[in-house]
Amino acid sequence: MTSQRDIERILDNWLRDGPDAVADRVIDAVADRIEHQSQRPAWQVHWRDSHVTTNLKPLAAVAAVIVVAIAGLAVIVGLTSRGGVAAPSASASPSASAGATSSAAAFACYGETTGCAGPLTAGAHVSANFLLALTFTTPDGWVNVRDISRTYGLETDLGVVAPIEVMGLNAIAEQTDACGPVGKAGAGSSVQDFIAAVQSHPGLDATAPVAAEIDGFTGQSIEFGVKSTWDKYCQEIDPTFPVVLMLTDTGQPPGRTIGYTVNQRVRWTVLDVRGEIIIVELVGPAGGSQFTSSMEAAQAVVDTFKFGPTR
Amino acid sequence: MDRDLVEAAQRGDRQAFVDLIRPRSHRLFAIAQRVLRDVDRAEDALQDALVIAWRDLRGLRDPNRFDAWLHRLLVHECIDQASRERRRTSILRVLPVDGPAAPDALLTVADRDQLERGFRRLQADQRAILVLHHFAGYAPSEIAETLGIPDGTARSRLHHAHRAMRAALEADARTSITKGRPA
Repeated sequence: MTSQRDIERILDNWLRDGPDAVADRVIDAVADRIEHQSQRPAWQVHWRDSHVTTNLKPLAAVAAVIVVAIAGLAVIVGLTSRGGVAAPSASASPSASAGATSSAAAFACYGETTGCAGPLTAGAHVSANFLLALTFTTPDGWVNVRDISRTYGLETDLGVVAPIEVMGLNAIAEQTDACGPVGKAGAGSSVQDFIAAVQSHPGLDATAPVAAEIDGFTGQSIEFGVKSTWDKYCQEIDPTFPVVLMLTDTGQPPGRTIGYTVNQRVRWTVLDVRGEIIIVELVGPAGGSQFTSSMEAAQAVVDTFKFGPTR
Repeated sequence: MDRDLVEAAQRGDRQAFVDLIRPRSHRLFAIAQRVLRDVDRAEDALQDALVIAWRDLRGLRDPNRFDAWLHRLLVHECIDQASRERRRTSILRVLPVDGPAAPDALLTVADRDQLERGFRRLQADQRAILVLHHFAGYAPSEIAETLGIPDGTARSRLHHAHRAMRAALEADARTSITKGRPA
């Protein structure tokens, strides 16, 4: 039998043994990667499942070659990447977002390892992995940051513009001390149930919902923020701000935990798309005028959404 | 002064960020390698944690907490890496015999092999807490601050991790005995 003190002594000694120096190339690679990675404004930094995928690194070298090739081609034909692109056209065939752009591999996708397309060229696009084939049009400067079955995410750092998350497989979350992805027992799953969960939440300050429609599918839209009096924390994830946990997903087990903090204001558009409840979420800064302006460019993209068949 | 570098990096100065992380990288890598028990995966976890740090740096309200925040990102990334590792076919790599001299003469190659197996049986968060305590030298209160958990939780998790390690070693010893027994 090994005693407690033995274990501590053994671990002290054993863990001392091992490599202590990292190769310079690792930090050089980080320097290269952040060249392609913009910083998120403070109000956009939430603690939801936001990990960088690692399976993209082998592609980085390929992407770098493509970037160089495209840059060379642009010089040859006298185009610039911004001035030479065609205006978005609704009739243009959408490009599948996955692998659509040259610097995708260098971009930090959020969440799981199924990836994302990274920077998008101006024009029409379609999701690759989201549960519905989502078609939309963006101007230049938007980035697909997440494309997994339950979530499709778009962001831009061109000014203060709300990031967009389109979420399926939704379930209302239980606020637990551990802040894990736990569905609320007995919660409904209709458009009205999700809207009512926002309206009745003691930690949220919400507007009255209004009727909404995207691509012919109807639902309701509501805006809300976290009350300054809310005092529930998710200590393991963010000890600095109180968090209202709102959403998880219907997976077994669920993997999503979506929460909001006091420095954000949120617009949800909740739609019933052929029986699947889709939440289109825009998150802006909490300040009134900044929030309004952050919604404009994002809502313009949302207004182009077309929900295709289930994949 | 590092606070200046953190603030410059928060304003978007990439060189300031690289200057900030380069001297910290060896220590961070050593922690990641000990949690993940694999050099390649430790390099991956470190790279990813640092890119996330750059991306989310503006959300860090107190520049003086940069180190604790960075360690937290690294530990979360290691746990994430380890959970992906669990989904793969695991190939056990035995510690090299001709590596650095064992600091404790009592630890034979066989001992270290057994420790390696026992340690790998632990959950990634238990491995992380043991590494922070026994390798990085963090007291439970510092582990609590790094991981953003209450002090009591850190103590309790450390205790459970020790217990799990002891159980893993004993389980390994039983397996070895069983395997060595004639059919």
